[in-house]
Amino acid sequence: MSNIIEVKNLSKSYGKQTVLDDISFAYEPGQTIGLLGPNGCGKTTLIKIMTGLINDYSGTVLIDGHKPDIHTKAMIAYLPEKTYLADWMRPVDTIRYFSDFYADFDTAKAKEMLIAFDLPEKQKIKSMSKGMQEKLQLLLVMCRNARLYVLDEPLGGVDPAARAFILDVIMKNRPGDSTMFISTHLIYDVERIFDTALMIGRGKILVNAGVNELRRDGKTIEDKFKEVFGYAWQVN
Amino acid sequence: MLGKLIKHEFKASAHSVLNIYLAAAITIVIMLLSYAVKIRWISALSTVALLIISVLAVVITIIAVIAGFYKTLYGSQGYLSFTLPVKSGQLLGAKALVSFIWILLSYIICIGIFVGVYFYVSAKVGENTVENIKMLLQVFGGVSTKAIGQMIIFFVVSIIMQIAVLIAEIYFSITLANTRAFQKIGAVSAIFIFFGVFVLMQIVTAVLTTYVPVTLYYDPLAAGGGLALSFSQSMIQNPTGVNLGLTGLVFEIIAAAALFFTTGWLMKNKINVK
Repeated sequence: MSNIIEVKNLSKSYGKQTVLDDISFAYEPGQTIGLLGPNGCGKTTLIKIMTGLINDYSGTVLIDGHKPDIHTKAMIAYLPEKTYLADWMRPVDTIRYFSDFYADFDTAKAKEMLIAFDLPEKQKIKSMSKGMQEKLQLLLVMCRNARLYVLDEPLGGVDPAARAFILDVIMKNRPGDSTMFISTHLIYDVERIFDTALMIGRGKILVNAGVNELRRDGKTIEDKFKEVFGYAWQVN
Repeated sequence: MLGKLIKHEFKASAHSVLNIYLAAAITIVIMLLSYAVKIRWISALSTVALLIISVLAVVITIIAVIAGFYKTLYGSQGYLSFTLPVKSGQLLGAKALVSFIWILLSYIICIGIFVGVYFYVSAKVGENTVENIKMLLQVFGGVSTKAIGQMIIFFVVSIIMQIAVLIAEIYFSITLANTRAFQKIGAVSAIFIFFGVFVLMQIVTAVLTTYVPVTLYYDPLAAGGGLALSFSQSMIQNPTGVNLGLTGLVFEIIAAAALFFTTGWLMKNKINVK
């Protein structure tokens, strides 16, 4: 089976600061991969390269065998950390927008989910709370029948009850054969859904292994994370 | 996809510019009513307000073009724009086309309001507008109607090119300011880049237009008495008659194309969306 994500010798610097330092990894389709690391370790940079938001890097990044381009953008459903919708838009406008540009967008499902999420379809985004805006973005992303979902800190800044709701929405709405690439530093809440954990720190890959392997000695992924990053910070 | 991009670009930009046109329409109605019922102080006030609004329409439209381009590509909305399954050239093309239409519309409305107010007010105060037009045409003493038509076409093409160049300069400046080399400096770098490019373009265009001996001049012997192409005299050599330099216009076409191409390349290869 060909890899859905393939990264070879990827490096990225901002001036003199190296954020990603010659990292390589590859994943076959169908997995849920947790991209784990503390704040500022390069998770968002890696995601922005994969989604085509950053183009000046060295190394190779292939999504389904293609460099980030129109083909890969059509197959990736991306949820960024930020609110990326124009404030004049209403949920009904955002649904039209997504259905115009993404062939895999399910408009009927989106309208159903608007009701389920209790989001008024004609309320302007600028008058919505941050929580409502985040729910709307999640809805738009999860109403795509994408091959690869890239979610950047989907649980960042939300309360524990909302985290459970968000995870539930993600897992219920993803197509069975799709791949999930989720970055987070809130491991405890998410680790139950991971198949693979990719831990990065100081620009390097510190762990890239299946969760069953990591849990073999009875520890949780969060324990492993603390172990790895405690050690990594000490030696660096 | 280009058609869809244009459709959504119109929807997005309309929110920023339509209010000023609405204000102009309301002021026109007030002005016409006040002249009809002969309330002189309201007539005077609304006429001045209309002239100010017409200039503001151009200014607000240009500000909306700048703000819209920055917000939708390099602000948080850039996360959506740059992850759409479209080419960066299509993204740029849709924005440029819609910006061009809005700015052209603002020019037409501004000029239209000035001309309309002039004729309307002249007629209301009892001036002979037909005589005024005849006096205006005497400036081009002896020039045929055909040549005047050709000159109008030349000036319309020049204005269209100036709008295209202005958009290209704005887009290029904002995009270059959002590459890694300039991002640290912030928004002020876009202003400096813009004025640098703008001044340079103005100087080169003026020099080429004035000194290069490729011009359109009035030839009364040509069929119907129209404009003819000359390669022997520049505008500076013959400053009094009808003599229009062409190389500045050609330079503007090439420069606008080069700026758009470079902007597209930077968007594709060098942008770090913050």
